[in-house]
Amino acid sequence: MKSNKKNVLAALAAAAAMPISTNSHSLAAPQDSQIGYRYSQYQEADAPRERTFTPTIERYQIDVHQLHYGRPITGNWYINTDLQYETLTGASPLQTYENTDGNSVLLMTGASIDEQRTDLRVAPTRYFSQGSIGGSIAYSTEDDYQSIALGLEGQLELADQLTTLHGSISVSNDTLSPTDAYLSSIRQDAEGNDKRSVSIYEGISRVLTKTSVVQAGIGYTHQSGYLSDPYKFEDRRPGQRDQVTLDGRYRLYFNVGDGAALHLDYRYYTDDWGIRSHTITTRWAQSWKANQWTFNLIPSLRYYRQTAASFYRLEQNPPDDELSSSDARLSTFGALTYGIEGQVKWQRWLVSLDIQQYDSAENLALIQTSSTETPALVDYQVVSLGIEYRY
Amino acid sequence: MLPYIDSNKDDVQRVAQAAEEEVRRIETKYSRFRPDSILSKINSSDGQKTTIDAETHYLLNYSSVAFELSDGLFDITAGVLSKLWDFRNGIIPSPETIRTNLAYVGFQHIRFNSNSIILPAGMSLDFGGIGKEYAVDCAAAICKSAGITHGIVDLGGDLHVIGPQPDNRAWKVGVRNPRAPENAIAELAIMQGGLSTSGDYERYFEHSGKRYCHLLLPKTGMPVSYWASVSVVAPSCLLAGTLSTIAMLKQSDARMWLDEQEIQYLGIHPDLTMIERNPCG
Repeated sequence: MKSNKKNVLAALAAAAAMPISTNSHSLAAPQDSQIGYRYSQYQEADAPRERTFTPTIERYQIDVHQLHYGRPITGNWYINTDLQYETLTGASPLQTYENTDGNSVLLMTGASIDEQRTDLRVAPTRYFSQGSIGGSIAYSTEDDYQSIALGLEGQLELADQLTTLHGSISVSNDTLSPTDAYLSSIRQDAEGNDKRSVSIYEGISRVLTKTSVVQAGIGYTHQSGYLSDPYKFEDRRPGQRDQVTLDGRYRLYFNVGDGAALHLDYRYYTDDWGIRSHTITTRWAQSWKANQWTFNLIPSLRYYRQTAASFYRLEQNPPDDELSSSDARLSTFGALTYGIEGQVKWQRWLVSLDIQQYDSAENLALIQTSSTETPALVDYQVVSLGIEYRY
Repeated sequence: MLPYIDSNKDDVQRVAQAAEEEVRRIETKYSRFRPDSILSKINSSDGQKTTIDAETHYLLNYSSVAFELSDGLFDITAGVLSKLWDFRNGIIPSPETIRTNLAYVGFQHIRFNSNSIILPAGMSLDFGGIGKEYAVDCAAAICKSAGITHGIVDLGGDLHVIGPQPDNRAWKVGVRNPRAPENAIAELAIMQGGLSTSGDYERYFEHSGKRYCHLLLPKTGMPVSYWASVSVVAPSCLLAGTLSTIAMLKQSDARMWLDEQEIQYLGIHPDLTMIERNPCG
């Protein structure tokens, strides 16, 4: 067989073309070890004094310390470990109810609590030439709560090398043990109860052009068990909750400075408690480089709105055999989060500072706002400082 | 390895180490001399089906394309013939021995697909003509994906030039004098790509004034003698190695064939006269 001589190099090159990527199974797992520490402070703004029943207006402050360690293990494994320790002080809403004048009254807990929580999470991942499979186990404990969660997730890159499928499934079991049980029979009844949750998520991401990527996903969670808040008055929630989320993300890269990207995220949430919410987030990630230094600045803006749960009510004494809750997190409201993150990289070090401000209000729901006041809606600020080393 | 980067020296060390480990991995996997290599497993399968992975399938597929395009000259089953030639003691095998063993040569007798291969009993595969060149390209890929833009991966003469010198001038790579291999006889200017040389001086013996080298024609089992060496520059070391080997085996037809590929090459005759072609000028 005489081959067309002119095409020999092209034909050979075509046969030689593909596979440097098929052997990338030996490269797919990250090869760097990482160790990081992050300190965050979450500070809620005071409750509005003109609406509180008692002078207690100071709300939560939470200090969080996080330690992260990741390392490759022989073959194609990588393991991530995270340890978190946080302390929580402050008061929280016991109940919000509407008085005879039509104003909302906010009952805060009296004494300030002082709680600690410790979380540990271990997640090994196995990398293959076309993707990865990972597992995780997490344990969380605080005075009044213990939680254990297991997860399994996977990623598969399709043959076109432009599309990746993601899937995950997780289960968790939380056991309650409310503190100061003598304070209410509700707390006593909640003792030993648990809350179970099963979640699945499927997503697909695709490279659209040389400078853009899109991702879409759908998630479903089923919760069952004791879902009410034992620290609040008149808080009787259903024993089950089905939740569905739809999310989409878009990334567009620009040749500005030393690289920049526009992020646009949208998330839709709905559940069988009657809550529906929309979240839109936008970020600009800007990078500059000089010698061995890299500087990243990422301002962000997020808008969130939700509609109330069907059993959200502000009666001071709703009937005992009916569902109810005056928890502001189940009301109709809107929220705006704005902030900025700065990162400095030098050789193997990364330092980052993140400041975010969150403001929520009834009228920020913009459309279909409710006429009731929700004084328990909280504003908060988070400041976070992290340092990471790769080797 | 001559890495040249304007970044952390430790980063470069780590990349070099990763590249070295990759070369070792490939060498271990496809070595004819290691009983635990996949190649040895295939060669001792005695006609039974052997399971292969994507990487091995890729190399077999590449070898099959090279076999077709070279009209059967590039044949990785021709290793059985090499064993007949005793290069250390300079013994020429008898025509009968060669004829018997020619029955076990012929890539057309192999059946393989993406996860298995059937090699007829008595036949044997030899990745000697592609293994090292493939390893060079893989090592270079590791360097490139780590962000290295200037440098050369060099495994004893089979090279992959990742990028030119830091001042963007081409590297000057020496080509061995086939009759005095410790010296260079010429220089090739390379900006990027693979370079491989096939020569009659790697394993040979001389008898009655004639040189018998290790490059054997699969159809006759006899060594070639037209060229002392052929060096080819191609987009990858694997391609360069295949083209230089085929050129050596094509003997007098090589020059026209190489010209048609429009690649840079240097052919050296046994009398050390040279033919050089550089389509880029």
